[in-house]
Amino acid sequence: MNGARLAAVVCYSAVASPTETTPTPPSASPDQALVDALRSHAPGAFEQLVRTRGGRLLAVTRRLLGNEEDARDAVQETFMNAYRSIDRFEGGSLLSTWLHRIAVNVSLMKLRTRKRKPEESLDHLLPAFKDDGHFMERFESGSEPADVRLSRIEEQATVRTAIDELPEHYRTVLLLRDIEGLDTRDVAEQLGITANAVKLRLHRARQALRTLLAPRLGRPDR
Amino acid sequence: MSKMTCRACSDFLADYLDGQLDPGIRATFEVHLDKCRNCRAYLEQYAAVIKAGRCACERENEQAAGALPEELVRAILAAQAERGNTSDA
Ligand SMILES: [Zn+2]
Repeated sequence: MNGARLAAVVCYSAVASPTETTPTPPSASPDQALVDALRSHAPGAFEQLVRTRGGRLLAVTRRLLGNEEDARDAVQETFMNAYRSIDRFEGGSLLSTWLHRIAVNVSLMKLRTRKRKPEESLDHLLPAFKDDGHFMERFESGSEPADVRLSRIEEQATVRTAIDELPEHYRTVLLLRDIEGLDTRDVAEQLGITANAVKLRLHRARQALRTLLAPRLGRPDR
Repeated sequence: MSKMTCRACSDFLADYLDGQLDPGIRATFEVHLDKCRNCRAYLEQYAAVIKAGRCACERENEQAAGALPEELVRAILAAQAERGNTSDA
């Protein structure tokens, strides 16, 4: 595989992760004005925070918790925690990044308090191999790159449904690593598992997702 | 390791995409990819799935932005007012 092709496949720059920490100049930031207002308990500041930031946070908690009531509770807790600890917010990160992190933590806390489900197997969604180490299945490259095909807006619902179909242990790791942008060590700490276990679950989750999305992928046009 | 099977190759996909493969393994991996069309297609699909997940969820975030249900806004404001009252008391 040559470099150019690889770059095309792994380039995510068109879709910046929502959690990427972009250093911003501390002055002239609209975030800072809102943070100052929150710290001085200015009337309306908290409501402005909730109205401008709440929607995205609800999307995050819905994904992680998969249950509307819990997701809404988590958003409420996020804002209460944020308001209480606004003095600890440091201008070096974005307010949205900071809130996102709180929302993820609150959601994971809720997941932990749920009755633990037995770990579901994912094996039927993993690729099978012959004795000589070759894949059982043949994968085809379509006339159009797979990432272009699958990242179309009309595939959004299919992709989201497929993620929701993953067993919880795998879905959570995939969401935290690939979607919410936490690093491996962080996820390991949050879930109380080893870094290697995070990497293995992530890899399996991606493989399973690929299998679930296979009908949308790589059919050669004849 | 001079030769790599497709099975071994598939185990290295995540580290390869993260640029975390040891140079020696990476070289062997790339030799295999060069020769194996099936693994190239699998890698392409594997990477596409990661990107598609990000795209779908980012669009979901954008659609949800500024669309917090009004009853939830009110519940949060009420809870905050309640807490403010009790902590001031
Ligand atoms: Zn191969």
